[in-house]
Amino acid sequence: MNFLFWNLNGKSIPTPVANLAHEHDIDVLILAECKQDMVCDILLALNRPTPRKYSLAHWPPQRVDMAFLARLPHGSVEVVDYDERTCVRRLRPPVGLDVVLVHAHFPSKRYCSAHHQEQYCRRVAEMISKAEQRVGHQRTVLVGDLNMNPFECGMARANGLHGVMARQIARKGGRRVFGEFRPFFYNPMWSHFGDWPSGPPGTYYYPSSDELAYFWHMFDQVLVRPELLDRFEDGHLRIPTEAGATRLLDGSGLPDRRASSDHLPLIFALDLYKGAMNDLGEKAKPVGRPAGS
Amino acid sequence: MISEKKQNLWGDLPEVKEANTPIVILREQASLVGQMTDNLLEAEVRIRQQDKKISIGLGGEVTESRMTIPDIEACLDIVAPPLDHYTITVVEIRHGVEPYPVFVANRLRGIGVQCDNETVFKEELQKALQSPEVRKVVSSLLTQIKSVAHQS
Repeated sequence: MNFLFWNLNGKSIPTPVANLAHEHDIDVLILAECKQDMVCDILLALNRPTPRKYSLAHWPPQRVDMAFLARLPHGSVEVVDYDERTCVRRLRPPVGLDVVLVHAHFPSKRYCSAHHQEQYCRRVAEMISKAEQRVGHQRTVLVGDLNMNPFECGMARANGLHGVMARQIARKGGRRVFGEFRPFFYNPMWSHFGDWPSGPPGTYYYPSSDELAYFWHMFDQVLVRPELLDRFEDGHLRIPTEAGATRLLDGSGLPDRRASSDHLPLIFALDLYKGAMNDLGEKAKPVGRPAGS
Repeated sequence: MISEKKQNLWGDLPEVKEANTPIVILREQASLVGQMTDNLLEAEVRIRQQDKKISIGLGGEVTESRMTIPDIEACLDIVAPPLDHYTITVVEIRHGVEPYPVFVANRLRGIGVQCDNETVFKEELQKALQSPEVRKVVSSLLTQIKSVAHQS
């Protein structure tokens, strides 16, 4: 199953969104800074050339504008929990494993302190933990504009999102800190910093005049729980710089906020089918339209 | 005055042999799914081209060049129209400009094998299509479709 996350910066750019979705065979699109009145044009562009239609999933009341579009049968996606910036969904495809998909748009550094951001990470970690207890597994993936780099405290702290850069560490599942077990997330975004290997150095560019400036940031991230490591291939994680005929970088190699967005998109995949056939007993309750609809 | 007579540098083109290419065989199998499932399920073949960098020798040194040759990839998908056209890929194949050898993979099992000719390819494709994983997918989708039909 293929996923696309993109912070659209409030821009109505249905054609590049649809081009990315079709070119990369995307099953689930999560679009941040995407107002409800933009969704109609996006759906038209997505659905025009294909019999596999995308539809808008339930949009809970949130402070942020975040659209969730999927080409899955009715009933495959349910909201488990949400707050003003984060939504926890359970994804149950007709075939394959179900997963917890958390999508978020964290507070921006422009409007809050590093401490506030860190505290929000802790809050989201608790939300995720409760959702995992509720659904009975930890096959969780978190994606979004986290407005933080992978090395920042909230992303790495044990009582935050506890994201680690190496699979070898993530495979341990977690570690005990102050006597309490804290599960890991694997954060593959660490590997995408800088010029090597090929690809943009980050997903967001900000030329700060501060004495400490990174210029490129990896604010748009995907993190997966250890339980999904064997179903997540690093090679399938991409930061595209083109969407059909639309180049997402300008002549200086920076996100072209005029033609598209100030953020670059993120594409990744989860193999929910491999080895999942023995779990088909979980599918005893079929998905489909309710009677009378 | 410049002569307009064109010189044929191609020589004689080779004769085309009759052969069932892997994609033709996949399409044949895809066309059978509808009649086997009373058109509750369909199957389709998606084709895409993947460029592969080639190595060239320069002065005795082998180096990767910017030149690419296309590999052909095709997926055999099962489609469930009553489930909002839910689609799942069950088999993937890949070959170069020549149809054989061809790499065929059971996508649900996550394993693949190289087939050097049509006979071996058909054997491996049969194994994949008759595998427990593919049978379970078909069974699961049909169950869900019939359940949806029963509800409505």
